[in-house]
Amino acid sequence: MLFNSFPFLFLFLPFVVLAYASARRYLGLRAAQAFLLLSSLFFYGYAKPKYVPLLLASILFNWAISTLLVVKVGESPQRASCRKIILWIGLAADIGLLSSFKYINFFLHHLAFLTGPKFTLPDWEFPLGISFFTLTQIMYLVDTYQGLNPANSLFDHATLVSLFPYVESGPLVRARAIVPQFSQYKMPIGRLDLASRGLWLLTLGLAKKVILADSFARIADAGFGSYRAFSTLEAWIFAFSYGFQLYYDFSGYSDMAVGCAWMLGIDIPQNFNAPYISKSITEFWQRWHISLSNFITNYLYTPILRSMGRANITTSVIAILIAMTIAGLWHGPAWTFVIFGALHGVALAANQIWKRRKKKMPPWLGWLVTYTFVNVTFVFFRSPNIPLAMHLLKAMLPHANPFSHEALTTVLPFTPYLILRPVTIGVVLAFFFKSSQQLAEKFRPTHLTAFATAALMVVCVFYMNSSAAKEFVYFAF
Amino acid sequence: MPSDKQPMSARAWLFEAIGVTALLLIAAVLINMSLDVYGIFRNAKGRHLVVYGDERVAKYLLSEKYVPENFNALLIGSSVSANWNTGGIEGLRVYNESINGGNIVEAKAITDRTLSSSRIRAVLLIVHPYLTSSHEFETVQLTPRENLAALGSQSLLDAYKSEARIKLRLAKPELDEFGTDDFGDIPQKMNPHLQKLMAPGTEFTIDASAMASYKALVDELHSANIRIIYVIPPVTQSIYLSKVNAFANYSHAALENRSEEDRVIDFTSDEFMDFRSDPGNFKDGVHLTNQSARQVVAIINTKLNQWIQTGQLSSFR
Repeated sequence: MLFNSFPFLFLFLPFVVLAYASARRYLGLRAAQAFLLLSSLFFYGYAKPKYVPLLLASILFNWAISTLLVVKVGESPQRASCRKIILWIGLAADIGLLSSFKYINFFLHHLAFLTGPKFTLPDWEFPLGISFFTLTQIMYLVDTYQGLNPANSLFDHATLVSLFPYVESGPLVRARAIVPQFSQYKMPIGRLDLASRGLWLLTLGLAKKVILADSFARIADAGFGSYRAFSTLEAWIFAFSYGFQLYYDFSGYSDMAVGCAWMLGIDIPQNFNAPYISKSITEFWQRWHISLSNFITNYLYTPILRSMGRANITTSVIAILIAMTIAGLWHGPAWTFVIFGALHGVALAANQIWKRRKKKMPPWLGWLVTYTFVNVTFVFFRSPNIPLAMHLLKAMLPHANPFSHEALTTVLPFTPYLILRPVTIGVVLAFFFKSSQQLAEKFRPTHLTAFATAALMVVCVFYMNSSAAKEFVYFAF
Repeated sequence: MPSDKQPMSARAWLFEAIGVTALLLIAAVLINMSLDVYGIFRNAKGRHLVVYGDERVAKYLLSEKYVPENFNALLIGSSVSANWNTGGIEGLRVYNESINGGNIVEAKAITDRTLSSSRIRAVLLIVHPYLTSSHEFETVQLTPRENLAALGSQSLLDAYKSEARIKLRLAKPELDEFGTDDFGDIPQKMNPHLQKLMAPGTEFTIDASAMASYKALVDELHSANIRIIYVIPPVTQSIYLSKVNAFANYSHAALENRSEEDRVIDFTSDEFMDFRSDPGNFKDGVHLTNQSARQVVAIINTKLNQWIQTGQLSSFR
């Protein structure tokens, strides 16, 4: 089910929020949690019920493994090594599951030159959210092994993994931050205050998606859809448009996810914090897809660094390169994602060396370099293959046709009002306006915010009603 | 003006936000249904509905009730026939469903909707390579979902804005109640897509899916017992001579499924050489000026009347 669809916004979400609140009040916390679990499974299986058994099997398997990983006081070295083996079995099974749907054919295809005749498996359809619920459970297993959280009951674990605000596209959550909230309300403000803040954030997220992201998508799709000869100006416009599309798409999704969770009285991690104002690539990754960045740091970079013995600049750079390349590949089985990840690895490594040498860069230059670099690498992220990415990148370099807008005007004239206004607003908001997080923190329940929320929601509904709802970009991962 | 100064309880805020959203949505839907610019929510018989906003969306929605309740024939084509004023045809009441920059897949989506009412008796089908050079929807997918968009959407808002600008005389009306566009008579340069298509000496690029749609449409019309009048539109003599074989091959392919009852009006035939030889009849070599479009419609009208008088076509007016 899409967050930006009428069934979700006007049937599923209101029903679940009201029924969950009623169940909590009249039937007790466990009954309410059971309702939430069933609702989440319904949400997950709404479009493709055939993947619900896969999700349930993954939950059951990881829960069973986690019960064997619990740290016991004064455990023997044998048990400690046994736990380590069980952890590796669990991780291997999770990565194996992810690979069987995502990567095996990619590797088999590229190994064809060694193995002779091509040997590939059938192309299985990619189950929605598998990358996210698998990583969530990998974090859970590692944390349980390290004694950072207890082994949860199957009921808690199933609710943790399948919770509808994040099961399909994140953010990635840690069990110790979420599970205690099932039995105890943890927020410093009242439930209704949090719910109103959640509705406000949900509306902002929806606006980002349906008004801004989908408008930028119309321009970006024209640029990334063909091998036409573009002018330099057009190529940059297409690249920047995709940057904005991705930003508003993912930021909008993240706001909606947090907003939904707040309406249920559950706090989940923020995933975005105005990344396009970052003045270095390190800062960018602290603001962009924050939960994935944390995963990369804690569960890839740090273990890789540790495995190399001592930490110095060389081992750190190697660890960054490996971790970011894997993170790139996580997005999908394509060399374009590998290149995207590797380029960011190189940039992060360069940034680390730069900082170590204590060299200064004017903030505006840092921003310009970061923003340009990020958008150039997004060309790889968006392109279906390397030749198309190279075609666009080549067009971005100065060439004989710098300012023509012929290709662009084949997209724009038909729907200028649909595109131009949101695009202008989108560019201004990304650079000069407060982030959703800041807006949510400053939220006060007043008549003005109530009317603003209602008006924005109505505009969103009109936009949603103007064209078929587009999937969120990260649904593909 | 709502105040930002007085905080309220979260419960009151939630009620107010949700309540105002619901009220605004209900009000918008009711207003849009009562204005009914596409004639889909109430009786459209006898109304004179002009196309406002996105031409594709408007013609698609007008085809649900307005076209079948007020017309008995259609002109299906691209911008090539968009300014042919079908009000000048006497034997039939023809609605011009031509779309600027449109292909046959879009035209078929619109026509299919009109045909579902079974009141259409004849179709003037343009035979032009532009229609089959692509198969993608240019702006939006034309599906029954557009009916929902007529309750409140960006395209509807654009339609209102267009209507308001015309009524305030800030803009000239572009399309009339017959669906006819107004190109004016000023010459202009051919658009790049058409330039490529009309490049001298080359065969026309035919998109396989589009041609399949073209033939499927012809088959549908035949099975609905609708008479087809194929119209091969004129181009300047210089363009025609530079692609004689391409035009002949294209017409041959497009008319492949033609039945014996169907008729053809071929403006590339020798009969119309004088018309084609006058570049002043064309805006860009392919599109006609409004004045010459009226001549073409008059010729079509004469032909139709001849066929009606000789019993080859019935009058449905």
